[in-house]
Amino acid sequence: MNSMQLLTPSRIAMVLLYALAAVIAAGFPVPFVYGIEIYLIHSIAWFIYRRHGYQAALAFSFLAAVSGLFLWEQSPLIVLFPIEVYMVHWFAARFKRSHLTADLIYWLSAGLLLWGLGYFWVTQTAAPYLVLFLIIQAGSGLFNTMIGDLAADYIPSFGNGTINACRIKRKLERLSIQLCILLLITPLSIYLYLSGKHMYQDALTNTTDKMNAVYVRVNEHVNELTQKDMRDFLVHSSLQQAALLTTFKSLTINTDLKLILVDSDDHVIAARDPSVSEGEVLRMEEGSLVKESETLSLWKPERIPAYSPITEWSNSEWLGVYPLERVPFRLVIKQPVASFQQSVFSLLTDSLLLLLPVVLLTALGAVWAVRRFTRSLKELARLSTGLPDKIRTRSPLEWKDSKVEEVSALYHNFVEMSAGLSKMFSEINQSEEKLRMLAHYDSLTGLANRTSFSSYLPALLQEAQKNGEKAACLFIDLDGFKAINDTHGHAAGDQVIMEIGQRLQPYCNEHTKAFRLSGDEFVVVLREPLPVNLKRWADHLHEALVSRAVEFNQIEIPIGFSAGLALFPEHGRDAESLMRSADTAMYQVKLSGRNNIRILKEREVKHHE
Amino acid sequence: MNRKLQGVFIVVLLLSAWVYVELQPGHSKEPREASSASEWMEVRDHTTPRKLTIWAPSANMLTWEIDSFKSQRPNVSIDIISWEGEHKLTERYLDALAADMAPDIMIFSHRMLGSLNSTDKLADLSESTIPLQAFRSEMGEYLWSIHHSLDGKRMISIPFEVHPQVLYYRADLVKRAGFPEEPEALAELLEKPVNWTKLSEELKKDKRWSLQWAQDLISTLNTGTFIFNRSLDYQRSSPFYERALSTSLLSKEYAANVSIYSPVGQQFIREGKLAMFMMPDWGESHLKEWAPEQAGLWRVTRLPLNGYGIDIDTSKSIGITKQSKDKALAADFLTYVSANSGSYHWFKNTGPNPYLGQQRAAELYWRVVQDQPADTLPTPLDQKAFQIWNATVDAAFIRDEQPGRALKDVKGNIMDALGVPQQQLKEYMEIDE
Repeated sequence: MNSMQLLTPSRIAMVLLYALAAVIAAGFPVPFVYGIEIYLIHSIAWFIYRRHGYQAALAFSFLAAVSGLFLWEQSPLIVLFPIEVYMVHWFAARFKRSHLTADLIYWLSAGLLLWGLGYFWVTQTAAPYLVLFLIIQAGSGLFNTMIGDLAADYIPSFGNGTINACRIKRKLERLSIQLCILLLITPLSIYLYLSGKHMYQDALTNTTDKMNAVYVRVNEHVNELTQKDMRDFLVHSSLQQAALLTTFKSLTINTDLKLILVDSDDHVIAARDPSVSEGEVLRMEEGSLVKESETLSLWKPERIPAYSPITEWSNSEWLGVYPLERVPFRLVIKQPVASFQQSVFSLLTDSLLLLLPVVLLTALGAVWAVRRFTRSLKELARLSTGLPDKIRTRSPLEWKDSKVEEVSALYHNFVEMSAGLSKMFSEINQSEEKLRMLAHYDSLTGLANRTSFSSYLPALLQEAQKNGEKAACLFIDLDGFKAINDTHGHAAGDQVIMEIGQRLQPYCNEHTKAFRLSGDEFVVVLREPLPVNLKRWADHLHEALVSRAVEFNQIEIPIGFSAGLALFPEHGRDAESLMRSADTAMYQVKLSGRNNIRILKEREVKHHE
Repeated sequence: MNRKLQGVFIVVLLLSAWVYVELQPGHSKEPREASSASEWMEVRDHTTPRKLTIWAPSANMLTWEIDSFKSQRPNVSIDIISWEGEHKLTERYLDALAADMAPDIMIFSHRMLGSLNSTDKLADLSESTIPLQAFRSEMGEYLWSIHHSLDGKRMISIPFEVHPQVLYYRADLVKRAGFPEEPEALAELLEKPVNWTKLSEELKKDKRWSLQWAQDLISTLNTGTFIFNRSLDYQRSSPFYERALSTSLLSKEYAANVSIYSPVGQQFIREGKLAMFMMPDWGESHLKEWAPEQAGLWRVTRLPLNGYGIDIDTSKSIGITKQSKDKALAADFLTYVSANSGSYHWFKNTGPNPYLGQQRAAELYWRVVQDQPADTLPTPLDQKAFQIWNATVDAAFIRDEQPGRALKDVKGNIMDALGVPQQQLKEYMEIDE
């Protein structure tokens, strides 16, 4: 397939779609709470890994990392995604493990190390939230991998412009484990997400209430000033500022609120905020301001690559701006997010440290239970494979009983069913044997009948011809058989036939096979190695068949037969011609005195043909 | 793509991330916008009309300086508004500053410094073009210190008129009483309270008075220094003040109980009944006016008990308001005044003073100013503190209280009234206890 064939419109569309997904997934991580963000890059990368292979997944994660870093100015740790794909694939290929197992091992070793070092690098500080950060990253990494895996399992694939329904047979164990983990992880994730959201809303409410209360007190303080105090206040007298600052201090004791009073030109009059100096113009640093409510806004510092989102949130502040009633001043109240972030993170860390082992143990327990259950089912599947043959051949059905009641009942039912089936098969076998005997064997002599002969001889000749072997056919016709019937009755005739059948039994071996064609006609077919002296062998057979009279009702009935021996391929190259030659030879014996065996001469054959 | 190439890609990506992050500007704050220095830059433009408004506490101030300045800058007009007779000058000034209706330049007494140095409405002259450092050695540490803002970070004004408290005395009468007529020798002798009392006693024997009022000594010291130090601690619980108050309380019988501004008082001077009095340096001009015939008899020396003081009511400072629309011109004017006005160069007039017996009085005044300890400074607590001081000391005189007890009462009363704002100010200014 050349490159032009590869570049079909559907392929190009798919590549573009994945490229777009990479750019979007890198630019819009799912915000969790206070700077914890979860990228969906893993999910898509592992989906692509399953659907299109390692190199496509690596290319996808490369594109996501590059666009996240240079286009969206995301955390530089985004470059660790392609490394994850690279290392997991290497591990999976090297140690013959599934990529899920490899990803788990990656996150328990190199992943934690890389993300931990990266976190130190970007935060440039001791990392108070390192444990939580790593738990979230590892958790989201594994969760994403599983989501990608699930997506690859269940999302229909698109090929040649049509949707190919996913008809892949799924193993029960895999399905069960996926279901177990989903049922465990999904509620946990939802719980953490919702509790984080709830706590954030609580923090907003608390902060608004606190700020409102502070504003009321400061406003009261200003309203209670005398005319002279107010004048001093307007000239920014240190005395009034000190008094105001005392009020600020009393209002912010045991809190981390920051209070700043600014005049109409935004000059700072008094500030309980170490980062602000009196007299300077209050300027917000570069960043974004998001209105959270009527009075409350959230200020976040400008996002730069060196910031991790967590650090960005640590430096964020809620901001309330309240105009004073008596003077055209505004009270700016700041509440650093860091304290709320810290409390939420502490709670999340504690919750995760408590819940994760529980989830892990539950997951392991579920996996163990599922495996135990599916092991019985696997056993059942193994045993039931080719069950009829096993029952027919009476192979032993060994299966360890299960402690699971339903499985055990199934086992016992299966054993009973197997026994029943075995008995049924036995009866069928007997019936079949009878039918087979009736169809292929003569009921009087026990020799193979004409039906068997008509399939046996052509097959034998075909094989002999293929192998360049010889074969022989001795056609026997009893002499005076009609007279025996007429003289002694049909019972005597039947007795003679039975006796002949018994005497031919020794000739039913791997080299010779005797058939009763009809009435008093018999055929003995020889295959390689043929006796060295066929005439002598035929004489022996003649002797064996007719040397003793047949006794019937204490009457000895002498018997004789005429037989013709034809050789393959000399006397016939197929069953019909060979039999015709043997019949001709037998007939010649009949004409020449009976009770003898004759081998057809070659020229006689030609004459016949 | 083989594994080696993939590895190279990953390494390149990592390096790119590292370089990209390291090249980004950190989140260090940009330096705050510096105070607009251009406000102070002199515009060498003598054609555009420019105007200054000056508020002064009394009439006839700066008349010569303004005329002289304007003569060199024909495009400049200067309005000077006198607040002569205004009893609540501090309030006037502060009201104007609060209402953004203040003039370009304000002249105010040292007593007002405490109300003004705690606001941010006066421009920081250290940012201006005024050659402050050149004046620093002339001012002395005390004047340099009190003309700064309360936190000591901004120079809010410069001294315009400085009047040190001194002791004028009749050299002939002192000599007759057995004390040296030479000023420094007398000052050294009077550093001991007992000598002051002894001199007063000797003068009294000759029916002469050494004080106008019994409280003169403590009052002179009171109006010559401030009450709180840089750490906003009360500064008058010292042995010196105890000695001064004690000496004052013992001086009741040596006081003429007459004001030299009254005709009787001036008659006392002419008749030699008032042999000594404490007054700022302008006392010599009064003497010349009231008793010209006594030229050569009077001398001036340092305050008794080695006291120092620069009169806070008559000493003036000059500052530029933040509201000034032409700070450059205002600074130019202050520089001109400081370079040319006699009010700045009194200390240079060190020649012999004929009225004071050829004594180089200006040299003494300069030395007194230079030696004034910079251990007190004006604060916004002063106004109330001075009221309490005066009332409590007056009561002590009436009740003849023990000096130690009286000083404790003064401190107690002041702290009762000002302890809370003092503590608030200390916390505000981050002054450790």
